[in-house]
Amino acid sequence: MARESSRRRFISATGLGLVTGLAGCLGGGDGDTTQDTGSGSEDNTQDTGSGSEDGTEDAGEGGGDLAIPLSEYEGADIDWRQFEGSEINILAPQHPWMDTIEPAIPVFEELTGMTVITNTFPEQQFRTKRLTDLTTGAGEYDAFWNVRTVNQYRKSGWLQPLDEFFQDDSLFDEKWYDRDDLFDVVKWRCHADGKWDKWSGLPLNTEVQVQFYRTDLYEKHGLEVAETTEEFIENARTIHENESDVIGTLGRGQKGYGMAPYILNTFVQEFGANIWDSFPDDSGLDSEKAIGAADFYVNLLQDYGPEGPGSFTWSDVLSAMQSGTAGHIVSDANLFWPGLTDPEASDVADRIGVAPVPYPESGSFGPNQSTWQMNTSQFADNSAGAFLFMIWATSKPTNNWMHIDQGAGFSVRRGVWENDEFRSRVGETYADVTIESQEAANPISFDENYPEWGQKYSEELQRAINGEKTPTEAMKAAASAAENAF
Amino acid sequence: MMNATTKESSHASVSSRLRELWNQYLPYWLMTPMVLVMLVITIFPGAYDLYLSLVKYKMTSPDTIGEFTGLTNYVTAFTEAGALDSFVITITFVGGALALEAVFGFVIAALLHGVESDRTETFYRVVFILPMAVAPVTLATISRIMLNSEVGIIPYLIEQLTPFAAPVFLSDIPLLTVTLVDVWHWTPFMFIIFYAGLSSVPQTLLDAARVDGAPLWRRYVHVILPYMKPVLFVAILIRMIDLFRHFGLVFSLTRGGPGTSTQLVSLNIYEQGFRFVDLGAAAAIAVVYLVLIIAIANVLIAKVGFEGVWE
Amino acid sequence: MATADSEETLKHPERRFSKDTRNRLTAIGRHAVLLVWAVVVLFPLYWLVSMSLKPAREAIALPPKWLFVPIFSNYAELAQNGEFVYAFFNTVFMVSVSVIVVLLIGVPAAYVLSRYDIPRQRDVLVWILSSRMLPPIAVVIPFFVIFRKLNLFDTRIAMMFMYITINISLVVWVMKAFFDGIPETLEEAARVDGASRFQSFLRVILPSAKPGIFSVAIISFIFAWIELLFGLVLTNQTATTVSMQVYQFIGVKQIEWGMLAAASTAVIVPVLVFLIAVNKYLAAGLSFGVVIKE
Repeated sequence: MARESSRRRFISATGLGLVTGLAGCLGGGDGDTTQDTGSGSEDNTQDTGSGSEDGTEDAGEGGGDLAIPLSEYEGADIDWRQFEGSEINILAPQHPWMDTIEPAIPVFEELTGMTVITNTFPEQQFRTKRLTDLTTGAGEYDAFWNVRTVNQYRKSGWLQPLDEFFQDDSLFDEKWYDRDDLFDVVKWRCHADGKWDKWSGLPLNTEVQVQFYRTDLYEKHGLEVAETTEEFIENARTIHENESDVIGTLGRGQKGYGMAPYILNTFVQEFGANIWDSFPDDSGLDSEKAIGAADFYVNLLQDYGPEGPGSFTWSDVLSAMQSGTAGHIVSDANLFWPGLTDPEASDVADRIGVAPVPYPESGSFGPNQSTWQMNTSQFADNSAGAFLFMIWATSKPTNNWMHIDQGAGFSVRRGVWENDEFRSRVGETYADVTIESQEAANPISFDENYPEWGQKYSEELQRAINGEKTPTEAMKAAASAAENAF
Repeated sequence: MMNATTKESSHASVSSRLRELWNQYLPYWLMTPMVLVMLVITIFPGAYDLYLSLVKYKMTSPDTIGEFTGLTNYVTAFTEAGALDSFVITITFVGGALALEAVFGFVIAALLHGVESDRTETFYRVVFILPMAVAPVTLATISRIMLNSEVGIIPYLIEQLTPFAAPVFLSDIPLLTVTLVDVWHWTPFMFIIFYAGLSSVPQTLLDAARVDGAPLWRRYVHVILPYMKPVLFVAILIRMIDLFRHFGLVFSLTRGGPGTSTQLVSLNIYEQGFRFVDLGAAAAIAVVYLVLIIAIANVLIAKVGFEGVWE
Repeated sequence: MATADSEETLKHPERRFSKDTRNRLTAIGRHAVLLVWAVVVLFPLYWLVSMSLKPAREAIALPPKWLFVPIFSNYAELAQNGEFVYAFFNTVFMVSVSVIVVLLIGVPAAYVLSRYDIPRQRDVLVWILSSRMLPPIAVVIPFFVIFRKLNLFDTRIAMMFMYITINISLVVWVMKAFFDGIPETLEEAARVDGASRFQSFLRVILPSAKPGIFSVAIISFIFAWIELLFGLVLTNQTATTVSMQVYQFIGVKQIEWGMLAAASTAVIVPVLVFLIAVNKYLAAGLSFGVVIKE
């Protein structure tokens, strides 16, 4: 999982010319892979940055091979080399962001003389690893990813606010970095979801919920893209009833505070309810409007959804849509787009449409949004070095490279989304839908006890989706679980 | 002792003295390494969990961490909605899986043991052990997609090949589904041990029984099973304990859902500790759980083990 | 044969089939059940392997393509995945050593527990079992803390130790059961011939417990091999385990089915090799029944 060393091993394994210099850092154990031949296609990009591995410019290679020219960063009034020779250790989930930035990490290493070690894990294992590190105060990781648990960690006293680093002129150059270019909602997320007057971290991505639909089925049945939930029900019904092997819609139903509630919360707010009527005494989940939203979502999945919708995780939703067995995804992360439109992974790659999530006629548009941010902890040895990495990774040049030169599509910077080259690559519609949703986003603030009551909320919701409870009962139980968590 | 008489050099006497010590205290030498390992692996975690269970250790209240709090954690952990249900769920799961695995394991071990052809026997033996080698999270991930109501191969085959409608495994029959997946995964454990147990039954015993003209089932009941009792007992006991601490497969398959219908106690521990960051409450459940399993194991060992199996 | 049959029929007139027919029916029934179980076992494995040999979009397609041209690109990619290969061989090494050590520690102890009168034997036995009663999640954090203090975090030694802890109770208990099944007369006979207690243990008891020893070795190997949580929490890079690496194909927004299946299949291979290697010992029963018969 440790990517830094893996990159080295990979290079040695494929024998791409770097026999010298690198051999020293390989250690034993990898000689086994020396058979190579045609290297894995998407890994090819990895060679580009590798010349600089040891920070020394060996004849001809090195600088020229870097993914992003160093000159992009030299304009910043930042003392990049102040932590030369030190190491930063990053803990991350398996996320496309990591895959995308991977080949550019040598640029940072070349620029700063630091060594970056990345440790990536599937989300579940990542959380376990992160929590072990923090609860024991081990401080193994200088930077780690975070979403939804930012306030839990803030309350636990683990987070190191970034403000002092922002104020340090040798670490930060406002003019060059331009924080105003970040989406507002993303900045709000990076202040512990609006609950902290300090910067809790720097934003890595933004995902906003959108609806996906099948253009071929829309054409066949003469459907119009639904703006309202009422229209959406009609569209889902038409497909569900007229197509023999295709269900109307998909949506997450699985338990887990990031699963079903993540989607339902969009509708709770669009229907005009609040998550909290008054924090932390009065949950809004049992209000009439919230129950209306739950009715809509639960009935939609029960009537026009898959069989057993309560067991669907995001990956089931994605797989089912890719295999062409569904007409819609009522609402889910816009980041599904690359997976859905990739002909290698999707049977319906050329038949996917994207649109803003529907909202009720009586309500207002406002999809849920989510941002992974990078934090540094009180226990970390090299928080300042980690900050330097965050600044570099979220800066304009790096963001442009990731999104314009590489395949990424989740930039936190408005500038990228307005860039013509980027827009034509991801598709105008996708870009427009994302910007529109992003700007109208009505994000949920995850308080410090959200993991606890969100988990119970998700259990209740799953019971309702499964037909064991009515949505009213479920939302009432969820509301009291939320109130009891404090 | 007898070797000591051969030579008289001091070297020989030292080595014979050592040999004498070795033989005299043989059981101690043979036990010591095991006891040392056991001390390390039981005392550290045991003491740590006991300590955590008695102090405040809710990470989101950093100021109170470490304050002695008596049995509060136990109260918190067990007044939590569904805390007691999860014990019932766990026992259902453990009982069901254990029974199926023991029966299937024994039946296929016994059937295979009677196969004459060596090659066939080898083939089956290797095949029957393989499921164990699939890592739990892989199994869960693959099972999820195979059982999925829209894109899963198993519902698809049921509907193509049988007149029945496929159940939605993880929604309609979640506990049964996770039990069956576990049976697929761990019947091999029973199989290997039972099979080895059967192989250790002396051929002469079997031959003697056969000469008596006893039918197969009676040979099993009167000759083979009594002989295998210690092995049967151990395999079932160990599998039972492993089932009690089962975590990965159910967690990845259902997250304890739908609702809390597959919420095992071990999932509660994980949730308390790793989601709600209340290490005290997590440890309290773990301690109670440990005591409960020790009690069950003790009863089994006393009643079934000492009075039945080992006599 | 004819006489035997008629005798049978005479003794049990209610039996309508001759012994021969019954034998044949038994054999057919036997093979039918074994075959069914083999299909139950193999189908998911077949599915796993076929996923690894299909292009991404066909991996989970329905109706499935039963006949397809296998592609090996997933395996080629896997073989070039340095992390995976490193972890694979690293884990083979750590697990193999740990299995040998746990047998060296556990088997003699099991012998003592089987043959000697130990004070409070029942408590000792329960104590040994108790080491596998705490859910791993409750065990791993104290070890994380201790290993960091001792500078053993992310070392092979620490992981091998954890593997031993997983398996020690299994080895002791199962081997005790096997030793219990070996009649003491066997040893006594050897001791009459002048062997010391330890020698008779080595020369007489161990060989007769071979099926048990190899079964326990296989199970221990597998338990350690598929272990996840200790590998996750107690290692970083140096001692990283293969089961961790399998999961690198489960992403936050995408699961690489083909690679996941290929990696999972690769993980089964060492077990398969091990199984085939020790195959003959698993079935080797007692070869000297005569001694027991007295």
